[in-house]
Amino acid sequence: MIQEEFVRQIQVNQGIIQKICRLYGQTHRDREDLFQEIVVQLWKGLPKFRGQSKFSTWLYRVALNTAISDFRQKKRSLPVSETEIDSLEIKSDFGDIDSTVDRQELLNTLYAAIGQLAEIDKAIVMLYLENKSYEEMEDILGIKENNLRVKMNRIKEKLRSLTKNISHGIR
Amino acid sequence: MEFDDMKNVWNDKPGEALGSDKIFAMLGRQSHNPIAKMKRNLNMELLIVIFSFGAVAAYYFIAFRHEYSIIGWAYAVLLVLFCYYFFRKNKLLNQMQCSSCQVKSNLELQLKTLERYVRFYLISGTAVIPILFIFLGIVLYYKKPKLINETILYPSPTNPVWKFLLAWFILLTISTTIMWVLNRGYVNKLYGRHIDNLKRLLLQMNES
Repeated sequence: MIQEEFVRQIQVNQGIIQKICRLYGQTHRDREDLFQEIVVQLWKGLPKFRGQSKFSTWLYRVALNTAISDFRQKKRSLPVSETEIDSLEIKSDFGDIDSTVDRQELLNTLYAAIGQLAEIDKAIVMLYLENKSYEEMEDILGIKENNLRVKMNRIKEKLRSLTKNISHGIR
Repeated sequence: MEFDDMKNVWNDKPGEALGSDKIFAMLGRQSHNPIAKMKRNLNMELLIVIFSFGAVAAYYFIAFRHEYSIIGWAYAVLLVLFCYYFFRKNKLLNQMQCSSCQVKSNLELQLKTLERYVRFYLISGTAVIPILFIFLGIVLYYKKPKLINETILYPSPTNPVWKFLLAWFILLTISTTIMWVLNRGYVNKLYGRHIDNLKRLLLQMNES
């Protein structure tokens, strides 16, 4: 794949990378650094990509591997505190969620709640929200399908309990 | 809101699009990945060792009318050993990461290779002491016996061989043990938390 084609693929898939950066990087600087590191790792790993899996599956693998390694290293990253979720809870207490602002607030609440999860659980819930099948999740993460289902149920429970005081929380 | 309905909210915010010029610029930048940093540090160490050891070896080969060329040879041997040490470390660093592998197998690979890396670091760091003792012993015994010939470290009619050997053995054991303890502490400080984190992540993945 030539450089131009690679850049085009990054542009097409940058939403995925941005979501991973938002999940694993707590500050704006962290997210920028992580985005850049993921792009560098993808570019370096490109010669090894032989099209045996889908480009998006390969991208998820490289991006999550980088994010989880990077997350381990950063000292300046602070976990999202319960207080931050509380403040978001107040903001998201609206009558309906149709407006763009309300959806943004809901998304912020979701990110804040996911931010409370363990690193691996973040990856699982992200892939689930990305509409990946359990088979694809197994292919990316290397966790058996049955175990993923059990984990996902636990994660849902945890997210429900984290957002139980919000009118638009997770049921 | 039902959890599955969150998928709509999750997927309808693509975020700010990044221009192709910015992505092109990223491709030329250095990786800040810890393994990439370790590799760069290792290459720098290798250059420093080649130039400093090479210069010292050359100096002893040329100076003192070749009287101390044995020291030059010792440095040359140490340089070869260091090159082997760097080669092994570099090989382990190359094996340490597989970004395109499944997340779990990548973590397992990192843990396994990092543990091997630490073991090698510890063994080679500790082995420096016996190597230095042999080197020092040869120099003192053949070139500067005056410095030790009245001590227990030199065999003489008043100092039987068993005493001389025992003295070197005790000295070597104590020094090697101290070096091993110091090395272990240093290696734990450098990589201990990293290894613990990898184990914790793998535990998260394996627990059901």
